Amino acid sequence: MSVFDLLAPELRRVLADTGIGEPTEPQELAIGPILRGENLLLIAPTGMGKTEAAVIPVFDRMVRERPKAPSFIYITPLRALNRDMLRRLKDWAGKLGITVGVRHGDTTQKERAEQVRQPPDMLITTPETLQIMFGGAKLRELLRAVRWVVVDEIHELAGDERGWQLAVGLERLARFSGRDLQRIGLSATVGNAEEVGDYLAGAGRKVKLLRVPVGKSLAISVEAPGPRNEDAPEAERLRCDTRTLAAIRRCESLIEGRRSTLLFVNTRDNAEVLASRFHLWKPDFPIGVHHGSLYRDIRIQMEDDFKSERLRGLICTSSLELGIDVGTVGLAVQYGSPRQATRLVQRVGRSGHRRGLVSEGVIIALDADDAAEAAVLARKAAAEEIEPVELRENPLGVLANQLVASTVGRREAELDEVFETIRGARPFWTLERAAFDAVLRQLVSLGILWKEEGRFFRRRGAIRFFYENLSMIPDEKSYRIIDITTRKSIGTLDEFFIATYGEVGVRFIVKGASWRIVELWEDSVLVEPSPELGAIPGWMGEEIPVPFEAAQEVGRLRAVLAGEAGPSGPAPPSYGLDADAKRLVTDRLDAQKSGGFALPTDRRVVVEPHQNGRILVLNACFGTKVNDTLARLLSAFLSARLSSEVGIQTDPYRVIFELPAPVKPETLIGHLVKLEPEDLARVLRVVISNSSILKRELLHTSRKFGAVDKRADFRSVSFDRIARLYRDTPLYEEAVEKTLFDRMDIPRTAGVLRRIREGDIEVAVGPASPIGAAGIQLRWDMLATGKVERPILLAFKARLERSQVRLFCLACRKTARRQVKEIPEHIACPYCRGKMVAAVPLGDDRSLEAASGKRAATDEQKRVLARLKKNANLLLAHGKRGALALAARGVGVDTAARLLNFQHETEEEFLRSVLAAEVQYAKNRRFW
Amino acid sequence: MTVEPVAGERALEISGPAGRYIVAADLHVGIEEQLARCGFRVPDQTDRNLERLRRLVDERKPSGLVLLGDVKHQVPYAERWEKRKVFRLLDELSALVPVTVVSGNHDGGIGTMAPGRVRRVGSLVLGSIGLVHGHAWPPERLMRCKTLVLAHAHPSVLLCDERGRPVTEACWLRAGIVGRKAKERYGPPFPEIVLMPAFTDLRGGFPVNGRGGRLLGPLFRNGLVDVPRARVYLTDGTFLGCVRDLLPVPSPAGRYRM
Repeated sequence: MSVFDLLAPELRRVLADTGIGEPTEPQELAIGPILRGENLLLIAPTGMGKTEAAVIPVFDRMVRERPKAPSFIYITPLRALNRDMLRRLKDWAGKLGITVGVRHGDTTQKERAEQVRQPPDMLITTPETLQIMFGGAKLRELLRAVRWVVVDEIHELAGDERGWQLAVGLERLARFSGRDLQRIGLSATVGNAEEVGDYLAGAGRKVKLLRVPVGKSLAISVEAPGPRNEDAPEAERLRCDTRTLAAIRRCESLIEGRRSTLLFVNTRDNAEVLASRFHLWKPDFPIGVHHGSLYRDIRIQMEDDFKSERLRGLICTSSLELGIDVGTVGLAVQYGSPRQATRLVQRVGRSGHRRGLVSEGVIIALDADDAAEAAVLARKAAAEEIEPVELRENPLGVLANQLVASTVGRREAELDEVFETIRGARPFWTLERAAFDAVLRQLVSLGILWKEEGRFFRRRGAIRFFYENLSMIPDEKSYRIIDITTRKSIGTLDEFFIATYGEVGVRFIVKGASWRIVELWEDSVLVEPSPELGAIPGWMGEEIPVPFEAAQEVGRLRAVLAGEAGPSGPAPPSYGLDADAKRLVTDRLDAQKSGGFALPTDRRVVVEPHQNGRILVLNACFGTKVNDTLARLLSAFLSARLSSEVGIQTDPYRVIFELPAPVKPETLIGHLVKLEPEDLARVLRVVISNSSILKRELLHTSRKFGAVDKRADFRSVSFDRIARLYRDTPLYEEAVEKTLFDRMDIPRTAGVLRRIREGDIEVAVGPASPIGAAGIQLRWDMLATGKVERPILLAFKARLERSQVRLFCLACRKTARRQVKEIPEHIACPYCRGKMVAAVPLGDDRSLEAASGKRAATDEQKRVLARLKKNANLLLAHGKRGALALAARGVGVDTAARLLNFQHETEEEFLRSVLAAEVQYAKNRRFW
Repeated sequence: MTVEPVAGERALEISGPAGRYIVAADLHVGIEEQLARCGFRVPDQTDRNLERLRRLVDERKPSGLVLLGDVKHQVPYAERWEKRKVFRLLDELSALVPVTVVSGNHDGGIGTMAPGRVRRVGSLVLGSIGLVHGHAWPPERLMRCKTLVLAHAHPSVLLCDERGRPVTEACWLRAGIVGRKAKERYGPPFPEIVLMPAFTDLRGGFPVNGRGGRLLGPLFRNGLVDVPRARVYLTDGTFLGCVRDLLPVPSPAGRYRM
């Protein structure tokens, strides 16, 4: 007896006609519960008829009950998936008398109007379009008919703002239709099914979790094709190294051996680089390229060519990770480590799309870290140790968006009702009324909403704001950089850079050269080459973070392979490394060992000075986010100490500091062990408060709150100035929370610090080693910068140095006029070479007059002489700093002595204290 | 009479035999609307401005409050809600302390939105101190004062760190008069000039260390004020030295960043 026997006879007949004779495992499991009306999260490998497992039972109920249309909404994260879904379902749905329609951004006006007049029974759409449907008067009425909702590829949505917006959308839909919708979620990979189930169901609803194991259907190997010396000339021609060429060669032979192969890379840049090298190497080789920045028509062409096997291979990014139909895929190749097990499962899952077939995947590792990481991820994928989807509690940007959304359909909304609805969605379970009210208050203060007793209304502009900010995905305009000397475009700058630093005269670095802004146009920036160093602008990153657990396991693998792991430990798991890949990993470890260097592992951190201490490498197997967190914290301390910027660079196994002056490893370790695990969040908030990552997030969050329009012209308004007004508001809080959540990892960093304190992680110092050196690249991000006060301190110091003083020799009693900057570190009287010389501000001639007599006669003269002696002692003891302190306004010898006797580690700290003394004087005594 | 900024606030205290006065300039009530047209929504600043002024009055107990021009922002006709904001501000302040408004170029029609007890003048002399907004030539009698307080130009200073990253800070300017230029129009002796920063922090300033362009107002435009040798103070009291010693920054001609 098959589960199909439960279905209506006409549905069974249609299924048989369509070739769906026997249920697959997911179908066998899911159809029963869905027919019974249960909410369900179904996790099953790609290519096992997961979609049908959800659709068949819903169609059964539709066939039996013939509910009012549209009763069934099917949500996917991608328009391309919508189109595929329509193709896949239309025929057999038609035979059942069920109409299917797609509605999303690409739907024509005509189709839209038709859909309102005659709604399809099943509507395939995106999360954003669902939001829009609440807005139209007629459309909104249609939504009352909805009874079933499927969320496909739910793992793509559950962990970000887009999906959280959808969660609230589903709650609004449920409240609006007045009945509890039956919710079904589908995914191939979910690490934490319970949480994602909660996300799907919302507060107070049950959800059934069904999982069809994916691990056993995956066969993943790790290869690292060795470079060949005779390849050198060819590699030269392709402008790559021999290892890359070896990798390309291996990719080619893998593609040759199969009918069709998807070749996954991690970034768009990589896709382009690889494709261009392939074409240069073998111009006729049938391989295409596919990623999100290509025009839609080109992408569809590529998909079709691949399906029809005109292309044997397709280089792609995550663009083809989801279930877009590209026909049969024989093999999935991953170029470089996939960085997360989830990605690996998704990508390898694209191959062998037929029942019973094993999905086959090959990872081509590019260096030793890459190979070890790939091996760990391959093991994790097979063991189904999938990264959890992480939810952020109370994302206030989504709350702001949905508050406005709830006024779009009918102008006004009830406060209590909206609060309850929003609290129904998983991200807002713990939302407090105070936070809700604060966000509402801010929207009112921004003039978007209007609040009255118990209700709120939209104001003029709210609708436009809502439609402009529908998409929760940050969308930044970019400006072309044009070199006026050649009139050529040299690259692009993100809007964020223009918003904060977009002033004529500002310098920045692009393409390794320094440029100065000459003019700002609407969509471009005119620049000229600048001899002075500029700031690094930083662009939107798309690098996937390597999880802490994977990086730790790489560290453990190092220990095991180097024979360091004790015999008592658990047996090391087996890893699918081929001989070349294993050699690549062990060669690096052998070099480390034979040189006598300490081995950085999961339980050992090694700090190494490189290049005479100008570079410090902190070898730490903690993954991307923890290392980024450490980098920010430590570089903030180091740059305060050195009063200069510290360059940082991180990878999952290292934090690298580029220092303006040598720093001892012990100093770095000192800062590391002093970090209080409990205090991290507070310190990080301070550290990032002036950082460019926060400023960028502030810009995005301001958009989500409607504080900054899409059409805002940053050339006329400095965003920095505006952003200051939002301090201590929900908007600012949200930007901070999001930055900390997206980019940092406080809990795991705190865990690491605790383990260091308990001795579970050893901190060692060692000389420059092969593993440490492997991470040093040429590109540096200047991240730990942007203190607002630095420019002021510099101008202040310049003023002190320029100020004029009269030098007075206590031995020969002669005077000489000097600028402070002319005073040498070791002062001597220009006439008698005496060491006791005082520096008296130019205005203070009275004391010099008093002291010029040979002998101190009066009490007044004695007092003046005593003061001059103190003054001279300060110059003698503190040299230049002494002169600087004495030149400050309202700082007499006593105050100067107090300032100088304090142990300032850096000049910046010293200057800051002198400035503070001056400001104190201005405040309490005289402003000018 | 002494003229001294209130450290940490963008206001001036004038005290002496003629009484004690607090001076604030360039409030630009209603600037939020212009920002909104540029695509930036900011909360209404009226309450914040009121709060700041009220605190000054509480702490310093002046005998009068002088608003040195550009109380409101819109030129020339204020919208209804802007009128309401201006009226509320002036009404609440004048309930605490006698208020004098010295008209600025944005203050056309302010008479209709000020309570009767608010005094309105084109310029003001307090003892030896003259006060005028500065958008037009000051009358002769003000040029005879010991000190002439001006606003209108929203002075700021643009400072850069080693990598050319800029910050703009509002500032005070103390300057002398270039006698050679002034003689064409006024007779000596000439006053010392004090140029005030704008009270609102929503209005960016014109960099005093700008290369090229000159500060706003006829005294500056025609070179009567000796800007290169003027002394620059940040609003917290940080003294930065003379304008000519600060690194010049390219001044975007006609571009005025808020």
